[in-house]
Amino acid sequence: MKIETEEILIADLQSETNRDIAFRELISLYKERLYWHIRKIVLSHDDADDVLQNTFIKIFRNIDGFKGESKLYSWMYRIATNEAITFIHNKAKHSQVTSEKIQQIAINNLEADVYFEGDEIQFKLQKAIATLPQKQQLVFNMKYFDDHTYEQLSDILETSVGALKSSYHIAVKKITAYLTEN
Amino acid sequence: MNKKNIHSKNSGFTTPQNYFDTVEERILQEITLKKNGPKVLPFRIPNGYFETLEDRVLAKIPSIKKEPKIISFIHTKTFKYVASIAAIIILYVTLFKDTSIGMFDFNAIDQSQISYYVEQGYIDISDTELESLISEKALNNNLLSLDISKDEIFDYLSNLLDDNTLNLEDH
Repeated sequence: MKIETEEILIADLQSETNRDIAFRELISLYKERLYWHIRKIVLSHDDADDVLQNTFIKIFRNIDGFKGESKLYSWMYRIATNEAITFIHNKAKHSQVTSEKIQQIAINNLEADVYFEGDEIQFKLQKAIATLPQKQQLVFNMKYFDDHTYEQLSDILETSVGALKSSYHIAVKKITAYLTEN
Repeated sequence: MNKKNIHSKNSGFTTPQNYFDTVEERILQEITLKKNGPKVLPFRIPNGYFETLEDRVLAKIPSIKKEPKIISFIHTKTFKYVASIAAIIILYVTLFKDTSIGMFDFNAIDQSQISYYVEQGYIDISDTELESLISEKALNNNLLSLDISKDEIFDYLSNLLDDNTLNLEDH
């Protein structure tokens, strides 16, 4: 999105009169990108739908506080990421297990999920990703599937480019090893 | 190509330590992954899912708008924060009031240390448990004695609402 267009959209979102129309436009613009970003974290469609709706509601509630220190899409990605991770943590707390266990359960449920249509290698790749620490999972998914640049990732995840490169290479190494061994 | 010759030209550029020792391995890993790991996501969505999303999200917005902009004090983190300190004070008074053994001087503990202790989650008590520990009278007294101005509370809540930063552990 062009900077001028983004500024107009933000101004509309923060105004009393144009807010609803602007918010509908915002959802239309970002719904798919944010959905797939969330889906890669929580894996199931139903959970992704819950988190996506919560993300947009949170965006709506907090748009007045958006000060343009980062790009709008980085800010929204950050909210979506936080919402997805919080969702997993809450689920883990509710089930009295660890977040890693919740992710393992989600992976094990994939094969029976009607909204999963992967072949064996795709399933293995998802299993390999699930073995990574959460931050490496995020970096790998956003770099490998979404082709984000390191600069964009740095803005979204508020981490240095050097640290992100290191995380990504470690993730690639682990996933390659997993795929080779299995 | 002789790498040393390139470096000896004093171009001013340097590489991270051991960069050339691992570059082959990293490129080969990337190639292996691209060969074996498909870039297409294996997930499907229900038919028409995205077409109805705007309406479903916006349907939830009016109820949010109708909410008065009064933030319930009893549900805020501020309450938990203040109430936790109050609970510690009450527990201390209850446990050590009648004993002559001066294990430590509670007043010597800095308030910031207590705040840090609470914020780090070392005290894991539910709201219900918290309520059962605190009498309303004692709580009011403690809240009043904290002398928090309205501006400070407002700033604190505003910062909470703006706080969307990631809090991820580095791995």
